[in-house]
Amino acid sequence: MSMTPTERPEAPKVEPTGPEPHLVKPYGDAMGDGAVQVSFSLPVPLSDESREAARRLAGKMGLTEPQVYHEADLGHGFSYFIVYGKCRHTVDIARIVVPRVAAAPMGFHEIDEFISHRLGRKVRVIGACTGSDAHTVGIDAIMNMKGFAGEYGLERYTNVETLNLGSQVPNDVLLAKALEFRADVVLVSQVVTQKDVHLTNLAELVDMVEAEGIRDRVLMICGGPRITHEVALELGLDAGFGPGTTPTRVASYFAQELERRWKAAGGAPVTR
Amino acid sequence: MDGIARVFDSDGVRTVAIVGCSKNSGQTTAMNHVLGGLQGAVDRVGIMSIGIDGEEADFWLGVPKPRVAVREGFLVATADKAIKGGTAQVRTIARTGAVTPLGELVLVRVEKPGLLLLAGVRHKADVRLLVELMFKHQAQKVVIDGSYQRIMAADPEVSNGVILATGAILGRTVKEVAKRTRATLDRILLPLATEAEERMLLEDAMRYRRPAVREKGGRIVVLPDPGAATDEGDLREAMGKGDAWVAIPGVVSERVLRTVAGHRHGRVRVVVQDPTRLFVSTPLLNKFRERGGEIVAGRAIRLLAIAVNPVSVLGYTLPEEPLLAAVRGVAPEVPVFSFHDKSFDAL
Repeated sequence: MSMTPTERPEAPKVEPTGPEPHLVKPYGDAMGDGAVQVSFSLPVPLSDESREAARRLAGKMGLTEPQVYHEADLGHGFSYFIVYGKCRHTVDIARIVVPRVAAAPMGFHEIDEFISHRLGRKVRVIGACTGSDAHTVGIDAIMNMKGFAGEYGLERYTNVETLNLGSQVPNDVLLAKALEFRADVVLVSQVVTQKDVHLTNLAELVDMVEAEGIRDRVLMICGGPRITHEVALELGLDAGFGPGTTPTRVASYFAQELERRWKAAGGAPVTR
Repeated sequence: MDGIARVFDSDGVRTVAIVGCSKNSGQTTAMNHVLGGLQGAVDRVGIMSIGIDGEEADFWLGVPKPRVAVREGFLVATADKAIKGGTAQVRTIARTGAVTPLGELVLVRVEKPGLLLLAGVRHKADVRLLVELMFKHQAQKVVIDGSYQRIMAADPEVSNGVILATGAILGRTVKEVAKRTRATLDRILLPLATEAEERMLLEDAMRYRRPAVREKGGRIVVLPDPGAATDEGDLREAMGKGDAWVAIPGVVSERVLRTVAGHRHGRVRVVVQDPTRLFVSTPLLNKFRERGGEIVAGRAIRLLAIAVNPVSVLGYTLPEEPLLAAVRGVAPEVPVFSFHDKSFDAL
């Protein structure tokens, strides 16, 4: 899981440098030139015709003044092109809103201390790759003791009790285990493919947790290569971490968010 | 007031949930039609989305999404940082304390019309709180827009009417769309539990937050684990050797219904809190019913209409009239409307 736009600090305010400084477009070597480069391969051998096809395709992508700057024959009937062109569009950056979680980053020991002193009891975290998903690398990076990117995983924390259910866990099994485990946090790792099935599965899990009547006492977090906080919001989860996310990032979030919620509710939830 | 808005105006309907058969079935377009239809008749409309509504493009497909235009006097629930993403001028009138990655969830009143991004409502508890707040601030009607196939807002404790959005996104043929729409109806249109004994059994189950089983002889057993964590052996034993009633609070999962459907000694009637608790596949549901099994609900969903969108965001359109006829054919119990968002025509 790598640093995603949602994990970067908020962009500095755009200082006025022209008549419409908040309207941004690509920069090549002059302000406002819109210069971009695109590269792609075509399933035809390199020829004058394929070169022209590449140029016209760039035009159809909306680029003006498309020019082929590099070409190569890839063999086996394929060719490769780098095309320069100009983008005519602008984006109003002042109107872009990127969701991000408010939690301050903490280190391993700091999180353990925080849970011990501020939450007053261990936090129970259950994790799984749900549905047909067999890609456990993300959930393991966060939960396994050996951790990821030089950080220990959640299993190493004194004040976090973990249960990692592994891969291809049906939603109803995850829900049943979360009830038995009296989970405070549900971590779901999901590799979202072009098909909607993984998203549909996440949305169903959220509805099941609601239907069981425990949504208020469970923090629901998803993670995976194409996951962002925006996706999480769209699906009804509390937060969504993308590629490169480390265990402390997730633990900092759930520790602080649980503290906020438990304080608002007058204490940790009573489990049934 | 157009047809779909007239449906909204049915007796006693104050809060309508728009529920989709799947992602991109046209929930937001349906909401926009309702809002457009109410123009001139109802000014103070409360709106919220349980996903994200009003963004320019679909996060996954990149295709345009219907925007949400709000009029003066509307009450809108959204996250406070999402307000910046719109053009409408609003004033915050209540804060909820719920924090989202887009800031605190707030209730705003529209002072100057424009576009608005609706985001941040995730929990049923928040939905209920916001509906209450909207009525407290003199909303006349409330519309809750759905997200994906999420059905949470259709809980009769949250809304008292549902508009089901369906359309071409469900299949490449008219027949497929109609079949899948019917499958959704079979899950959400559960008959109301009317017998006093089955209602009492459900009350027992809800009180203990555990499934309660009444076997043929009248013996009632409350199982030791919550519904979703029910032990199959316990459930089988409790159903005994004849007909049985099984009241399940919370989720009715595939695993639990499969166990119930496997009861060979008699007929089983399952009593659920409401249809939003049922999470079972169509084949299993059909199999259970074919064997004489019944599912009834403590509270039923009032389906007001079906909104059919003949255009798929994936870039194809189904013929409107045959599609409408097919959906009407599988849903004779409710009015069926057609609409589509014209912005998708360019795809």
